[in-house]
Amino acid sequence: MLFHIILRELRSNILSLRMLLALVLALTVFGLGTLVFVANYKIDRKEIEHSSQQEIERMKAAAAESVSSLANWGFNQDFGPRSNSFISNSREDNLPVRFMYDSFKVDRFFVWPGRNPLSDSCQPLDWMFIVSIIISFSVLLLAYDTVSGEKEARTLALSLSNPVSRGLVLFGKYVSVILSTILVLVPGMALSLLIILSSGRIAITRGTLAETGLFLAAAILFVACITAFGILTSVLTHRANVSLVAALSLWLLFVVVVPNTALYWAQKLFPIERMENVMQRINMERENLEKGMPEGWRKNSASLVENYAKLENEFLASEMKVRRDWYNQMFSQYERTRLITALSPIAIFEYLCEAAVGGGYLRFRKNWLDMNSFQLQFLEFVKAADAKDPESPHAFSPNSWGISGKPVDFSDVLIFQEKAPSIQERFSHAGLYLLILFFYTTAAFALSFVLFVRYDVR
Amino acid sequence: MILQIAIKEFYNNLLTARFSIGFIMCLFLIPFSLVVNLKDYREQLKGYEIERAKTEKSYQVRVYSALRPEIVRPPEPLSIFSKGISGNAENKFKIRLETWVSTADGYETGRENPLLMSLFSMDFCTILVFVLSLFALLFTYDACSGERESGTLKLVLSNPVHRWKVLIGKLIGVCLTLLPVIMFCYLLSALFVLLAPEVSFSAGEWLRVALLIPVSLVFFGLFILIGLLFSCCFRSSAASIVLCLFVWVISIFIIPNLANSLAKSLVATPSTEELRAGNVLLIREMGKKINDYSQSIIKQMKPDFFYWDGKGGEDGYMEFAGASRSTMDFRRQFNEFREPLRIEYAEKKGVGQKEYMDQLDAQVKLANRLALLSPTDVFRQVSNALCRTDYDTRHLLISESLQRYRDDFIGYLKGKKVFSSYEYFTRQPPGTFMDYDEIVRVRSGGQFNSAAEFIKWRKEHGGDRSPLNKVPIPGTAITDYPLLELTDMPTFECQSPSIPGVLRQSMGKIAGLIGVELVLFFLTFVCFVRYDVR
Amino acid sequence: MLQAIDLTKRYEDGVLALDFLTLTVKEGEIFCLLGANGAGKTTTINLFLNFIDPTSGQALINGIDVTKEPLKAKKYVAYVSENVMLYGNFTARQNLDFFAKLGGCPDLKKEDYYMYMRKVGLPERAFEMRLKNFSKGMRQKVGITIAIIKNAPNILLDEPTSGLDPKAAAEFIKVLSSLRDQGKAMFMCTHDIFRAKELADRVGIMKEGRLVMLRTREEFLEDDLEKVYLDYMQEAVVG
Ligand SMILES: Nc1ncnc2c1ncn2[C@@H]1O[C@H](COP(=O)(O)OP(=O)(O)OP(=O)(O)O)[C@@H](O)[C@H]1O
Ligand SMILES: [Mg+2]
Repeated sequence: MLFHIILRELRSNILSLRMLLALVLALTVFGLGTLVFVANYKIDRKEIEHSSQQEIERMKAAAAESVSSLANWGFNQDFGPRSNSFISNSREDNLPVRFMYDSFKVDRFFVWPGRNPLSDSCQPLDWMFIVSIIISFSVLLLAYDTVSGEKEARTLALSLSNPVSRGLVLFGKYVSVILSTILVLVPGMALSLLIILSSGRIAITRGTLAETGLFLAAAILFVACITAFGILTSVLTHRANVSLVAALSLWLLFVVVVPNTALYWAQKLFPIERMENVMQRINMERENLEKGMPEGWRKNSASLVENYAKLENEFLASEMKVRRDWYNQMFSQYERTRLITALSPIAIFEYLCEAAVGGGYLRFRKNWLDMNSFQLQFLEFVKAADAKDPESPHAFSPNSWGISGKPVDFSDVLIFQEKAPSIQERFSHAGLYLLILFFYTTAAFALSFVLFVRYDVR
Repeated sequence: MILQIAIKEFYNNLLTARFSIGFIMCLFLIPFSLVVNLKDYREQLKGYEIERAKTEKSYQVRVYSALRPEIVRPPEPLSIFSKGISGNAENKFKIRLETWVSTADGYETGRENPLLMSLFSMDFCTILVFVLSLFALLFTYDACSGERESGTLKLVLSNPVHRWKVLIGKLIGVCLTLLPVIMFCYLLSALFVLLAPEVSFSAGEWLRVALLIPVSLVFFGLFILIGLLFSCCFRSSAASIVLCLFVWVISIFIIPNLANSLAKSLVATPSTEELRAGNVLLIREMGKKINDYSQSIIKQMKPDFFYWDGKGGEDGYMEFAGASRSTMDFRRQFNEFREPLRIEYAEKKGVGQKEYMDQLDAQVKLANRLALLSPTDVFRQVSNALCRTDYDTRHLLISESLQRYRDDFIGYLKGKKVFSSYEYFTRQPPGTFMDYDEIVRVRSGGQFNSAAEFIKWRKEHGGDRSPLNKVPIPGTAITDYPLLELTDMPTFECQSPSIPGVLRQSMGKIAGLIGVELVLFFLTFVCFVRYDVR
Repeated sequence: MLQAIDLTKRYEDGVLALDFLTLTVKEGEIFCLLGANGAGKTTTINLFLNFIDPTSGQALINGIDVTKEPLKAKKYVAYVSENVMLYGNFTARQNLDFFAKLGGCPDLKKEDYYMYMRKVGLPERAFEMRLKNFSKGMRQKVGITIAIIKNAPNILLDEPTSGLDPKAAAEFIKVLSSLRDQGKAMFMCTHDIFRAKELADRVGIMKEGRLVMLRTREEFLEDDLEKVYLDYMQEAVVG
């Protein structure tokens, strides 16, 4: 019976104008978006490779100069565009992708400096964008009149005059909307993959295919959620055009209002210290430390190098403590804001996509932690190189002349390698959001079920 | 007759559920967007105040080499209405001899947390566009098809009325419905601005806001006509609404984003790396020239490099007092050569930078031109221009105002001949300069008779300079001298496109919109006259 | 006076909906058109209202050709459509008000509307009720009121009694009779043979766009109209 209902609904959906329009629009944007991605990816990649190459050169120069230079020069580590960002760019255009480090600290991150400051911030037309805008919109258009429209056409009373339970009818409608959406989504994804394959510039590995699968799963969950909301608006009212307005308002709320107020919530609810304050604190600590040094230590040439190194190390430790604290404030500000935006299933979907492709903030966080542990290794390496030099004073500290002046063999120098987040990391990143999405879906569907059972079909 | 129909449409619209839902949306979203933007503006203002306090200090200098004006642009109050690119471009600039004016400089508008750059925020115009264009479509999509479905169209047309009168009546009716809503939104926003203590608009700014109103009317007219056209093209209102909504999504979400990415792939973002590499070469070349020159004059002048009190810093900053005469002379001659050379090289770097900026400009221009396909983007561009947050305003600031100010400032320095004067790095009157020998003699209270003696002694005593502290010489500390009086300094004046200028610029876009509207109206008219009412 | 002269309509898809209809409905006369579903009754009315253009022939209202001077012709005709929805958000009176103004009776007062509505038998409580809460028959009554208010010399009625309860239908017949007494020409398409028999001055039966039978009151009063109708329909099956 369920099968019968689904089949009928599917048939009527497939023949409808909206389905056709959704398919055409989705295919067009999938195609155009991927073409643009392929073109832009090459350019961006080149730029990032150029800058990474330059950093390597600088590192070589530092190594050739001395251990001290290698320890003290700051280097940039850039995280270039992912080859799978056609699935989801995850706002990496606006997230920090350049980290600055030396052997003592990883202390700053920047948004990519090469982006055009004159252009409006725009979202790339990746799969995530298409699903969260076009597909969600089509879903609502398919779902808004499933009940109220049938009521107006009086077919609902007719179907319900047969011995079928209302729950079954509703579920049939629900499933058929999801299925029709998949019929729009999958050809689009296939088209996009085809374009990428035929461009020959980007290799599609098994990992990419797995990510595609994860994305599809996330998309289906998301579509299921939006469908539940669409059906809810349909059951709420008795007239199709009212439920349309309700559905559109809901959509606006999810797509425009909630995500776009994120900045406000961040500043309002979770303000962080201003940079000036932090700098002041750092300087105060510095002054205190300097006062704490023994009287006239700068004149005491015998232990000057050791004392200087000690002071510098203390400076570093205190500054890094303050800074780390500040960075943690930033991270928690951002994470909490994201949790607020999880009010909107569309934002949740974005975070799920982020987990699926291992990009965006997940990637940033992982890289930040990895960079920090890499820096410790790097420090160990430099210390070891310093230890090998018998002439070095071994007074290891930033900005100091207590480090070996001998060159290092560059081939031994550690270089950071980015690692994609593992499956566990991705799932733990997505876990909470999945739960929320699941909650929304069941809540919306349960509510529409309750309302539908009482629905006045006349 | 037209009036009758218009009034009927108006009432009919007012009584619908969509009107109440839409109005509630406006009532909720407009104040919210204003609160959000006022908050953002306040944050920016805070950042601005701090920065400005810092720039005040940039004029409290004793020598001209320290004088590097800093300019902080106050946040644009009109960005509350239309943000434009005011959020992603920096607002602080420092005039340096060594660098040409560039965009890659300054602070990031009050966003302490770089992660927040990835969060979006919306302004008044965006909300207006989203909600009211949807509104316009929702009121018109069933203007004909809906009446046909309910059979009233037949009844209406069984009366002696011209079809065009019915159409015009409908059009007026929808306009009558939307107009109060739009005006309400603007009044509400004006009220918010008036009540916010930290924002106060000048008359010109109010005029700009007022000009937004007719522009938005033209814009919403377009959506009204699109809705009407579709409603007259289709027999079922379900079909016309679906088409309307797809057009809406395409115009609001797809085209602007597509235009931006497409422009990026057509005009590649210029490479900062290449720019930097080019600059590095120039800097190296310049460094070599400076080095050669200094070697040659050191050989010639044989300065002893004795400094008593001194400081140095970026972009040629140096400040001395109590240095030996030969050192001072060397510095003067060196600066006379070096500073013009640095300015010259800044110009050379500027060539590359200009190219870089031109390409950025070309990209943005192309993106904007492509985005003109979407009426929402036309409105956005015009409203940004009116609110001084668009690309042109930025362009004018960078390549005109700042450029001119830099030229003025350098002209001012050159006019005072500061590069060849001692005042560039010391305030000590040249008459009081002393030889190294003399300084050593006076300061050591006669312990040493010549510099050579002192140097010898110092070497034996582990670099000890303390004997020179015996007899102080007045006027040999930097802080002995007052700050420079800079009353005749050129002041920075920021040009922004004037209202007539903006209007002239936007005329084409608005005319385009109106043209499209006329075409749409004509099509609607034709469709409606031929509409099958059964 | 309503006149159809060799009125023919062939739809774009080739269906011949009306085939050389020639017919005159004089002042003070009620003409009832009977016919199976799809016979072409509504097409005839649409032609009179210039909603569709005739393939050939003329439709005249008071001697005015509707295709040539549609606006002038429409002054003289009122229309009751089948199953009209009207403006759901307006009350009955507001609906009447709007259409009265369109129809050229701008200065009617509330009381006048109430009077008309009473006349067609709408319950008092419905006068200021939103139309979307009306039953089908109540809507139909409002539709009839609109036609009455227009006070045109000719009235086109498309299944006006569908959905009316017997009492309302009887009242409606009375209203029509009184309109006839005022000298209006009425053209009514209906499936209700008994009402037709009760009311009509002339009855026509239409089959596949052709008027196959035309009888005056005197003629059909003698026959059993239902039997005649069924006979004609029977022929259709056989023929
Ligand atoms: N727009 C159209 N295009 C093509 N054929 C049409 C169209 N409208 C009506 N027809 C055909 O014209 C014929 C007459 O239709 P019409 O609506 O006049 O019938 P009717 O007598 O009013 O029927 P009913 O009693 O069901 O109201 C039918 O065969 C119908 O299929
Ligand atoms: Mg009919």
